[in-house]
Amino acid sequence: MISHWLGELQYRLGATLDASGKIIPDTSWSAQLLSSDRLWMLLEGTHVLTLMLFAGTILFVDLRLLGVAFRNVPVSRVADQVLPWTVGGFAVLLITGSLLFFSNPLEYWHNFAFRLKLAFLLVAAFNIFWFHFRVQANRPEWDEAPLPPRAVRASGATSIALWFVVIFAGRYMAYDWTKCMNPGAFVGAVAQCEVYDETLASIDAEIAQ
Amino acid sequence: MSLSVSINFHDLLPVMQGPLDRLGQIEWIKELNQTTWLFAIVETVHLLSMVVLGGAVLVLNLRLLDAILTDVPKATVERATRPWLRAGIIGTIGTGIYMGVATVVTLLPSAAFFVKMVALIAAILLSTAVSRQVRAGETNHNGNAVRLAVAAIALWLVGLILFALTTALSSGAFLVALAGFALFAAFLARYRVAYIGSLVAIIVLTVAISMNSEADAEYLPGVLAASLGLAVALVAGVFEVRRENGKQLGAGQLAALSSSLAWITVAAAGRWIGFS
Repeated sequence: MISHWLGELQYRLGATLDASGKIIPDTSWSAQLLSSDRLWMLLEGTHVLTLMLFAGTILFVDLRLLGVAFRNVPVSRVADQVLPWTVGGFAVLLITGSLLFFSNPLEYWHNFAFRLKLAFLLVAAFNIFWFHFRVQANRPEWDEAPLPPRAVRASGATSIALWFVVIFAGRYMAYDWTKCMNPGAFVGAVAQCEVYDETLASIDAEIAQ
Repeated sequence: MSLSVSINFHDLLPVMQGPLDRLGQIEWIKELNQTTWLFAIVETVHLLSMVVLGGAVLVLNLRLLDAILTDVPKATVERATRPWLRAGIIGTIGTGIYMGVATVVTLLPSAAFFVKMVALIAAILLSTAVSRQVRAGETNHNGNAVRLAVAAIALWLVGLILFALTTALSSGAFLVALAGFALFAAFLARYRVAYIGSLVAIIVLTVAISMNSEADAEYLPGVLAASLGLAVALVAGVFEVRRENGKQLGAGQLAALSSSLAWITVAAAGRWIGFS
């Protein structure tokens, strides 16, 4: 269902049709974005470089939660002043990431590493909510403590680990063995490569040869 | 008339190519290159080191630009970020050497690699100068740190100009310009909304012109975006300087701004090695 919808998005949206109603290859908006040299490079380059802002700033907030850096500065001061930059970085990552996904949605959806990245993004989001609503509830009690309580440190360590895994998975998306190109049994099952092949076959029937 | 240039180690020092080619033929180095999983891990550690380095550079420099942690002494921020800056530099250079040895044959003719090396030297010198300035304190004039910063900024600008004038890489230089614009907005926080609005307008305009410009006018979007960006920055700067008690971009802030942008140039040139 999602696979078929993404196939339509990739091959049909914005595409030119011939007299018989078939899709003329490489004319869809996704295809044009993927083949646009400088725009795609700018989007990908911005996405990778913004990691320095997003993950780099959240790292220092987490290091404060761990009691490793800025031990003499209240947690609230570090979090309140640094996190807006993290959020700004995340907004840029989200916009550039969505556009990069749009350039090749079907292949990304059936990429083992992309699914891993999505899953860990969800876990990281859950960790943020958990920290915000549960762990941080009694912040005034440990705000100025050089070494915050165990639950706070655990949340900081979890955050660092999760974001590093998300970055790992993002980098691995580029490797062929994470794609549906002669995948191993496990990779093929997680990435639903059989569905990918079915979707490609059905789209192929709609494309002018 | 074309302004395009392409400077690389292969043309500048052709004598290096032979020995390095032979280095690439050594059995264990060939094996390093062909062991996909090992190369993937090293590449990812390179990226993670870049994140640590970027965080340390940005947190310190945003503090020096009075954009964050304004009530925390600059020296405290410098002390807190210093070990992470060093770990990031060691991590990126260590993994970079591994990747460089494994792909040396393709790196030497790469203009992006040349830009990256020039910017890397400038960035390390700038970070050193910024740290020394902070440690010396605002009241003590540190002539050596200022001279080091001036030399490093000149070197970085050489790298940036090469980046912008090499046809296949110019979009990477545009990215550095956008980052500079954002950092300038961080410094003049009063105009942040106007800056972000202008930035979005410039990006939309540039993309629209890029899609409609002729092949022989490739430079047009970049030149237009840079001009508009500079104009907006200048207008805001003039207004700010004319205000009573307006912020002045001092030597320390200029070094901090340049240090961030030099590291962004290193990272962008690194990414564009893969693209070109």
